[in-house]
Parts: sequence; C-alpha cells; structure tokens
Amino acid sequence: MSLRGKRVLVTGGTGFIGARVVEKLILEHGAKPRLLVRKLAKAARIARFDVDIFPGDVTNQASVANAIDGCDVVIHCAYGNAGDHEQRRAVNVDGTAIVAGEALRAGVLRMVHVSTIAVYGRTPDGDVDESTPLADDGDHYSKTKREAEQILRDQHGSSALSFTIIRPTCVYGPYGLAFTIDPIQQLISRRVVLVNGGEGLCNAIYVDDLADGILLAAVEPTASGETFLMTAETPLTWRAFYDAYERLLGRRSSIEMTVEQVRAYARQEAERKTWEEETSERLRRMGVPHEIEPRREPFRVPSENGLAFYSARTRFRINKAKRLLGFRPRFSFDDGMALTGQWARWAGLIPINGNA
Amino acid sequence: MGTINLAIIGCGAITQAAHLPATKRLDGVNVIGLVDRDTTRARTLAALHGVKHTTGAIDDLPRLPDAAIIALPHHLHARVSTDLLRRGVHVLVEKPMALSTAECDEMIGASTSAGAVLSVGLVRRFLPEIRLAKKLLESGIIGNVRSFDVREGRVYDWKTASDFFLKRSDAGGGVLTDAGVHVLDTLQFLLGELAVTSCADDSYGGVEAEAEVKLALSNGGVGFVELSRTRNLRNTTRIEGERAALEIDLVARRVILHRENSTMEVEWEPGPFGHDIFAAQLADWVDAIRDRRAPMVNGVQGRGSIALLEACRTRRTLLRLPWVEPLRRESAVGESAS
Repeated sequence: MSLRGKRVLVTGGTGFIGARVVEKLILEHGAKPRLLVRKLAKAARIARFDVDIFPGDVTNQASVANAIDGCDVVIHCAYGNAGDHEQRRAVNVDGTAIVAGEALRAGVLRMVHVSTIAVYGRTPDGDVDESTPLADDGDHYSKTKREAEQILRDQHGSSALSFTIIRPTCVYGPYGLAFTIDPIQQLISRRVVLVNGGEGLCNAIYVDDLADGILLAAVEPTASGETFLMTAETPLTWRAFYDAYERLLGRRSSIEMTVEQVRAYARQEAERKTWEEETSERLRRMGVPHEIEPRREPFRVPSENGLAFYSARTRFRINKAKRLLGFRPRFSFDDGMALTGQWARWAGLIPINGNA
Repeated sequence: MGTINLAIIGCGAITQAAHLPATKRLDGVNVIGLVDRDTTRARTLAALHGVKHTTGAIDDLPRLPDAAIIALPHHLHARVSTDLLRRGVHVLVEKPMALSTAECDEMIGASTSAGAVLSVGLVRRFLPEIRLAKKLLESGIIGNVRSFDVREGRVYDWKTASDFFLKRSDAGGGVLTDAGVHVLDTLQFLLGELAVTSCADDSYGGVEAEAEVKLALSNGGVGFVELSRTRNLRNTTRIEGERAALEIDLVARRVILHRENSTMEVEWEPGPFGHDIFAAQLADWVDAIRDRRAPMVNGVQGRGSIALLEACRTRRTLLRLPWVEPLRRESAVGESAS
C-alpha cells in the first residue's frame, strides 16, 4: 500500500513525533493528514502545511469519530502529558481504547499505536527485544502505556482492526522535549549527574528515523498485529550523549557519580529536609517567627528508576523491524545531532557566550 | 451626538479580552448587541457584560447600530466593513484591515462617500513608548536612520476561540498577517515609507509560523524583520542612526539610546499599556465620530501595512530550514559538487 492520496488521522499531531510524521506524510508521501487538536494554539507549527484540523481530543469519543470518518490510516501519537494521574490515564488508556474503537468502526486499514520502551519497566544489561517480558517499576506513565498496549491486544487481537504497536527508545531531534530541550536546559541551569560515569547505554533515535519507521508500519502488510522496537543501529553511552549537548553549549556541566554516591546524597538531602521540617514545626509551636532559606539544588537527584535507567547497559534490538518492515535508520548520532544543534541555535536555546 | 449605540461583530478572544472591557471604561457608549455566528459564544459574553441583544447576523439586531467594532476572521474584514460603512455605520476594524489593498481602497471609498469614520485597530500606535520613540526619531537625536532590526517571536499561546487563524482561506496568512502587520505598521509609523526587498517564510500551503523580511527605507537605509510563532526571540526593535541607536523593548517596556559604550534609558509619560490601549483606541475613534475628525489610525494609514503584506506575497520565497527536508538538502549539495 502507498500513502499517496490517503487520508491519515494523526493524534498528537502538534507534538514532537506526531508533527514530524505529519510533515513527512505531506513532503515525502503525498498523503492528506488530518489532525485532532486539543489546544489550537499548539498547532501554529504544523498549520504551515495545508492540513485538516479537527478540534477535539482522544478522550472525547464524538470528536474522534468525527475526525476519523473517511480516513484510511490512523497514527496514534497522543499521550497524557499534563494534569494529574487520572487525567493522564484518561488520555493514555481510555483515549487509546476510543481511538481503536472508532478506527474499527470507521474501517481504517491500519492503526499505528506509538508506545514506549517504558513498558518494559527496568531493563537488564544486554539485549532486549519484542519478546522480552514487560514489568512494573511503579511508574505511572509506564503502567498506563502497558495498559494501552494490552487493550489493543485484548480487544482487537481478533477484531477486524489491523493495528501495529511501535516502541520507540529515546527520541531526540528538533522540537524534542525529554531528550533535546530538557537536557539542554538542565545543562544550562544546573549540573547533570552522569550515573556511573555515564557508562550506561543510551538507545537514541533521531526523530526522522522514527517517523519513517512509523510510516512503514502504517503500510506494510506484515506489520498487522505486530509490535516493533525502533531505535538507531547502535546505542551510545550517556556520556557520549551528554557530551554532544555540552559541545553544543560550549560548557561542561555534567558530574560523574556512582549509584552509591547518588543514594548517599539523596539520603543526606532527605535528612536535611526532615530536620528543617521538624525544627520549623517546633519553632512554630514556640511562636517563633522564622523562614527556611530556600536552597538551590546543585543538580537533580535521579530517582531509583532514573538510576536504573541511566546505569543499565541495555541494548534494544531492531532485527524484527528490519526483517518485517525493512526498517533502516539513516541518521548516525553525529548526523542527527548536527541537525538538532542547528535547530537548537535557531530556536534560541543556546546562550551566546560573552556579552553579545 | 448623544450616546453612541455600538455593536461588536465577532466574539473571539480579542473581543472578550480587550474590546468589551474597553467599552466599560468609556461614557457615552452603549453596547447594543454582540454578533457572532456562534450564538452560544455571543450569549456567554453578553451575559458577562450585560449586553441585551445577541444575534448570528448584524441585520437581526433590533436596529442598525451607529458604530461597529469588527473583530472577525480576517477574510471577512473588508466585506463586512464596506457593507456597514456604505450604510453610514462608523467602523473600527481589527488588524489586518483587509487582505488586499484593493479591499482597503473599497473600504476607504465607502467611508468617504458615506461620511462614516473608519479606524483600524493598529493599537501599538497608542503605546506611550512608541510615541516617545517617534518623538525621539523626529528630533534627530540619533541622526539619519541607517538600518533597523526587529526580532519578534514567542511560543504561540493565544487563547483563541476558533480555528480560523490556522486556515489560510480565513486568516489570509500566518505570523506575517498577524504580528507582522503590527510590526510593519509600527515601522512605517516611526520611519516613514518602506519597501519590501525580500521575504521568506516557512509556509508549505498553510499559514506561516516563521518569516524573514528585508526592507528598504526611502533614504537608502535597510532593515530586517524576523517573526516567529514557535520561538522566543529577542522581542525588540533596534534602529541604528548615524549618531546613535534606539532600541524599543515592548515586553520590558523600555526605550533605550545606545552610543558606543553609553546606554541611556529614556522615561516616558505614564500611559495606557496592555489591554488598556484598547480603551485609548476606542476613545479616539469615538471622539473622531463626535468631532467629525479623522481618527489616529485611519483607512489610509491602515492600508500601508497591507501594501507591505502584498509586496511580501509577491516576493515570497520558501524559508529553507535544514531539518525540514534534510535529505533533499544533501542531494542538492551533491548536485552542486558534481
């Protein structure tokens, strides 16, 4: 199947990955994307293309039904990135059920669901592929994304809906938040901890390679009902990943710590906080006015899940996507970072050194 | 003329945030009706502001108003304004005045022949820092202007009530037609007539989020304007004269004179700011109606920025951003090498 002339509904189409999928649908595939948009102002970037914008959101069934009618393909990128746990669950879990249900009703040819490697929970050193069991690490996002996948498999494993699940790794590139804007801003504002000297493995993928993979999954007959990991050919270390951003910024802000050093620091911080709270409470009861001086954290202390994530030497394998989809990532980390750096400068994220 | 009976046509975000509150601050103006295709929206705002009538079309109001504020999707500005002006209704139309100079000419013609006052919502002309900057420039304090450089961009977060601004057919364009009209109008207000020498934007058939415009002054000076809806830019206007430079910062509300290592912040008379300038704009238009004089921003002045927009469209090229079509760029490099 070719995407030329096809109507493709993209949820989350104003976001980092979704917007790049939309751009490629138009520039490289001659498709006609539709966007389901919750916050119209966020569509400023993607509205420079002639796209059909449908106001609504994935938790509103009528708006999904309205946007999906007449579509050949649905690419579901929307996820809950705001609000409390309940609101995020509504988007991640209920939203996925609604999109899948409406995709089935509307008779689309394929629904691509963008999941995440967070579904694996904490991963072991060594190879991980699509057959590796999923596990709970207590993280809410990870849990809801696992449930969303489960809904597709349980409710649509034997329905007429043809769906494909994509599990991207750490996606970086222009407009990226978690692995582009966040690292840049962290390196500017404070020091960044490289757990175990940054020797853990970073399975990074440039956003264009992921968008290409998603669009392969949208058309390849062999993708139906399957789940695919997507990352670059080879991982790099977190040291190398942060090095690239530090070079871009022209400054070193990372510090190396072992897992034990981070834990010791976290314990010390917790004790300090407890002392402050207890002392403050005693002073309050004595009627002594006081104020705790705010203390700027020199760096963000990684959580236990964070420690596991940054120290693991996991390598996510993409043999299945290569075999069944012909997936071939084209951007080396250097190439991807070169474009990311050009974008970051243009976006004004890189401070100019000196007094310019 | 006693009380002026006013209708507001178009009940989007700007009507809610600026025009309706402005009417409250002025005596002798009575809002008789709110008009919007989305009558639920009109009723909601009417209830908030104690307006009696709401309708989906202006002719459904119990009587024709004396004056109307038009805050509709851009493609309707000219049609609705011209119709009302011809019927003798005074019009304050939001920017952009229209989408072409031909439309502007019709509006100006209708205003003249019916004797109805036409004013254009280019509110920045009411800002005290802009007026001060104009006074400084006219005083010759920086000498002849050699060049200027404007960077205006912020991550778009306008609390829009409809999606018209995302559609080229309704909005007429993106950041150039929206923030760009303010910038181009302010520059012409400060520096006199400008000509567009080049314009690049990132539209692929939709409404541009980024634009870069090069301009020329009649004295041979040159200027550059960069606009964005996705990036936080410097958000100042720098004007280089032969003796000194003037910088206007509408975010920090500062006017600064620079010369080599000297920097001087200039203070201005306290005046309206934020949405208060809409009250100043409304007062000027109402006074113009009462005194039978031209308003601060009349149709001819409003037309100036539309003429520049037209020139931008004529000279427009695609703003090529390397990460949008990286593989095409690589092949282009390959071609030039072979």
